[in-house]
Amino acid sequence: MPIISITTPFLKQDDLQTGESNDESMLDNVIDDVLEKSERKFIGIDDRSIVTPGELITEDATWMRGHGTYYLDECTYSSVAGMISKVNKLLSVVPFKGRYRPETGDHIVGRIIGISNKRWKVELGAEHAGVLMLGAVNLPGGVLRRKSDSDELQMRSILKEGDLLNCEVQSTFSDGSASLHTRSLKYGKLRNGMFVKVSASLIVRTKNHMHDMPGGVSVILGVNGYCWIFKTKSKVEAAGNSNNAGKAESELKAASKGYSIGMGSVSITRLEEESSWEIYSDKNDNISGSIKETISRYRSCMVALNYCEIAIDVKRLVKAYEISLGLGDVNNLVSEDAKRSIGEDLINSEKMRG
Amino acid sequence: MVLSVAESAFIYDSLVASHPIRPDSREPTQYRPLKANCGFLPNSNGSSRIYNADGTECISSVKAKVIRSSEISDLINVEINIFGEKDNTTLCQHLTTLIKESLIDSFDFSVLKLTDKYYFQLYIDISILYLPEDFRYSSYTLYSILSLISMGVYIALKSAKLPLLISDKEDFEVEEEPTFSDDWEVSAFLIPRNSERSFQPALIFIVGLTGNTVIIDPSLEEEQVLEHGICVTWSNSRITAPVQSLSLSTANNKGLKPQMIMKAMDLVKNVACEVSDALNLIAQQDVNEFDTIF
Repeated sequence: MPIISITTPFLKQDDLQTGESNDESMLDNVIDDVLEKSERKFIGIDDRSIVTPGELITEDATWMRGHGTYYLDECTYSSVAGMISKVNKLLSVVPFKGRYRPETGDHIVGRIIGISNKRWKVELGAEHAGVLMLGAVNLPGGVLRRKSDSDELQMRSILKEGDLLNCEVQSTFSDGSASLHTRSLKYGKLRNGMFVKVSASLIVRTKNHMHDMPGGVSVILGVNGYCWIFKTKSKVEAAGNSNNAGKAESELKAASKGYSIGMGSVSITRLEEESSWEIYSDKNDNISGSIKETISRYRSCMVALNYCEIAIDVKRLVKAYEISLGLGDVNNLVSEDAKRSIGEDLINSEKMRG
Repeated sequence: MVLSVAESAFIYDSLVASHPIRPDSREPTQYRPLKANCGFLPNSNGSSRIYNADGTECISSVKAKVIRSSEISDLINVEINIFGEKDNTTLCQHLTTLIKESLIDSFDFSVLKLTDKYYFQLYIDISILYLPEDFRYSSYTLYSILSLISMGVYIALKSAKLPLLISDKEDFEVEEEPTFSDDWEVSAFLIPRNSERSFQPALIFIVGLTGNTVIIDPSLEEEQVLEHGICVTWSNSRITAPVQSLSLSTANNKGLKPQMIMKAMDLVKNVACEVSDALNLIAQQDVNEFDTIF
């Protein structure tokens, strides 16, 4: 295990000479051709689907100009690198990369950065901070009632600056900021784990963003690229806490028969028992060293996938974890070579599977 | 960046455990990967650029000037410019003094002696070009960039070249100004490469302390939970002054046990040789490419 690795950012002179120069110049030509609009059709890219900043999109003034565009002298240009999207007469460019843009229903992870009048400000990695209204959280004890002035004074005892929470986007405003809610038991304050930030464009919106992984670890892949890796809540503990094991069991039985309405969600009556003050506790459970190491390994895998710019989903993460186990000790995953090899192995294995 | 209570407790517990686990899964003695190159500023005698994955970037340049004085404190001048910080802040001044004093202590001034009357005066300019967002508006004190700065200076000094003197060395009697050869091919390294005359400029290591754990090169998350920070200077194969306590962030500072200082110095003793070897490799590798880049 090398203590330090310092590398030069440039290609070495020898590399340039030994690499087949013909190939490289050909590659350059191909890239140049792609940038030439006339050639795009030829190699199968739709003539105008990909644009670079400053590229002319249309001279037709009848289009409405949406996000990612600007206009000069009646011509519309792209202001970002991305794909053109056309909805009726609205023309916009969806950037390949950039800040997270909240959409209603997104499952995200955020960090409280401030408290103001009846609301928390939540950092999401978006252009604006999100807003979590006092009315959009579960009160400890699960009481369902209007929030009073005394609740407003106690907001810091529920969530304070620096706290991480997972939540859902309830609605978005016209300026792109989001209003959030945590009105479900799967949302709330995060404990027992570690935070990792990846590029928001790498996380694809799916039905479920909370996954149990091999190794006794769970992850929340927030759509905004903020992820949380934590120790899986053990079943025994959960049942013990709820004092309602009978109901959980009957639900499990029902699960084997097939889906029934409302299954998996928590009924209003159980809400009271499940959400005691504990859901806003700051204390971690006892976490063994091996779990901590697994968490740190998953974190390294996510960092590696982020480094290789591979979209992250649960299957790939499991695969990356398996590959990383083959690389030996967790400490080995720090180097760039290890990150690259995880990315390459992952892509190769996906190619093999087809 | 402010960590949540649960988060910092998790990191703290992992660090103080008998088998410490760092958040980015490094070993206590392991550095984050760095990138560096040197000799890219055409107007300076030696230059270096060093940066790490989170984007903290440091550019250093060494320029030499001929003067008549031989006051040792005059011969090395250091100036540090940090992105987003004024030049007269305590931080900038403190870093400048630390770097300057450590260099003066470790420098072999005979290499700066040009003739009987004239000396080379070195101007070392350091610029921190970028700091991650998290550093600003937070409890970090920025002292952790000291390690990067000192590595940058080390590479810049090691790769610096001085022109060849063609006038007479003994000029006590003659009224003559030194003249130099125009040919950079015959220039010599400021710090000679042969092992007898070579020396190491001071390298400053930042060590973080929590409980009974000592870690090198603490990351941003770790700095939030560290109880103490120490800078340890290393030059010419031994630990030298300054060994100083630094608060890396204002979040969780506590008292310092004396035996922890010894532990921190042992840690530096273990890693220092490997670090200076890696830096030497960079300094030697790129100087040959000086002509091809420009």
